Amino acid sequence: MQTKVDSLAPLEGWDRRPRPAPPELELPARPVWNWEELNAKFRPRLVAAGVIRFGLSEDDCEAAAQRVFLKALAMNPRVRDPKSFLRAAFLEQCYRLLGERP
Amino acid sequence: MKRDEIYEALMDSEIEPAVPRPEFGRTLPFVRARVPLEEIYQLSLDAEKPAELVLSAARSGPDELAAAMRALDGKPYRGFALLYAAQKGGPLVAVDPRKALALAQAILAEAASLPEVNRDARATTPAPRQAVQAEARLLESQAFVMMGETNDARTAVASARSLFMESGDLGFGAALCDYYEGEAASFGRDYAAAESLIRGALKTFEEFGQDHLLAKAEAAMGTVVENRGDHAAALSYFDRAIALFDSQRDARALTATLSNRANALAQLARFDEARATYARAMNIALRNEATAQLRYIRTGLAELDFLRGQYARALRAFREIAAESASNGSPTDVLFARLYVAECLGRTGQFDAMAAEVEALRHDRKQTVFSPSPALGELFVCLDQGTIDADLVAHVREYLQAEDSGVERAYEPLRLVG
Repeated sequence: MQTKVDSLAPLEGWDRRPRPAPPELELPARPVWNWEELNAKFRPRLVAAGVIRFGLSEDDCEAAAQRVFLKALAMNPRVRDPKSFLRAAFLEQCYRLLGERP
Repeated sequence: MKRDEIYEALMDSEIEPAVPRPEFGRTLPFVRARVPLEEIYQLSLDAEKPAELVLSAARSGPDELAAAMRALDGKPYRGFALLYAAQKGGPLVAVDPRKALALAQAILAEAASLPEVNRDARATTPAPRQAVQAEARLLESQAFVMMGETNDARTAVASARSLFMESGDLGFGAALCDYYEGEAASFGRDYAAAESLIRGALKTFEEFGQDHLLAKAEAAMGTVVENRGDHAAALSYFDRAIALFDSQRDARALTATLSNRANALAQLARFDEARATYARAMNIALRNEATAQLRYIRTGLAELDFLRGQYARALRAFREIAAESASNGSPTDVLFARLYVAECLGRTGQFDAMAAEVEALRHDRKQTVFSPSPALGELFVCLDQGTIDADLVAHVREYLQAEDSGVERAYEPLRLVG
């Protein structure tokens, strides 16, 4: 059989093969996010969920939401589904805030 | 990361949850001032074009890259631009890993002057030094993998891991580190570590709902399992990856995973399914004009004919592949195609033609990295002695293919003694 590729077959422009080519690394152009919806509708939902479920203060939840939005923006080229990202990251942030409580 | 059913239910609820408010007598809470998200979002948008310019400059050369970095000085979006340039540097790795490495190291140095992450859990710093340097280290690791320096790649990922942690990572950065270190481990043939790392990344990518990354991790797991010789188990990973990839946005990754799936099927002697999978890969590669991937697929199809004993058909295909690789492929591709040609000729009783093909290989042997290989040495000695046959050609080819895949073992001569 032909030499196995480690992860993926050769990419364009790669004409040297001391080792099998690595995985497809290309990232798409900036994913299109509906920022208006994320900020105006999804963020309040996160904050409310944090207050209702974990008993955190609204201010703490607003800070947590801001933090995870920034994390999402920092990972923008990698994040295609921002809602899923924000949701998971916000939950983790809430757990951390709970862990910081005396 | 834990899951929380009530939280999930609140997030999925059709009725929007609202923060409970007392009906009256409410005291105004203390609210910390924050930079409006809208402003930070705008900064990230403003950073897009400059990041592309940095990438373009990195492709051109060190002077251009330095100039592009200076153009960012004093700009409010500088951190985001460096961050995005690091994240989008992947394609450069495939084209020129040394330039990608130079880009990663330039970003690493530039990021030293960015603001530190604020340790207060409630405060936020857009694109802090640690986050940018973590991404630069990840890019560096990809470049090292492409250059075959897997230990250096893993060291770079270890540094990225610490930097992500310092930056207040919520698990996603660690998962990226797991994925890239897993890839490096896989290339370094440390399959146990690769499996464990990529499995961890898979779980987190799933929790964060990023299907394209999940698909990549599934495909990478398939390759690890495949390399360990479990072709049947590899198939299930490839199948999940193929189902998750977006056929438009992930066309190249999908094509490559289909090729790997076909390869696994061929190993299991499921030739018809392998052919159908290669055909699907070829359709996508043709649509995207992916020349190198097309050649890889055609080689796979020719190998299928060869494995089925359809030597005349395989001979035609390998001749075409050899000719095409000679003009725009690698010398290694040419070598393997011509070894297949020689073997097909031997299997169909065309011994003179086989000898002529091996003679031609000897003439061009210095063009390949296998020039000093004892395997080729035995082949050429046997050619002179008139003891060459298809089995010897197959023996030499299989040894060289293993070597090309990184398997290090001494060559055992088939015909020559001592």
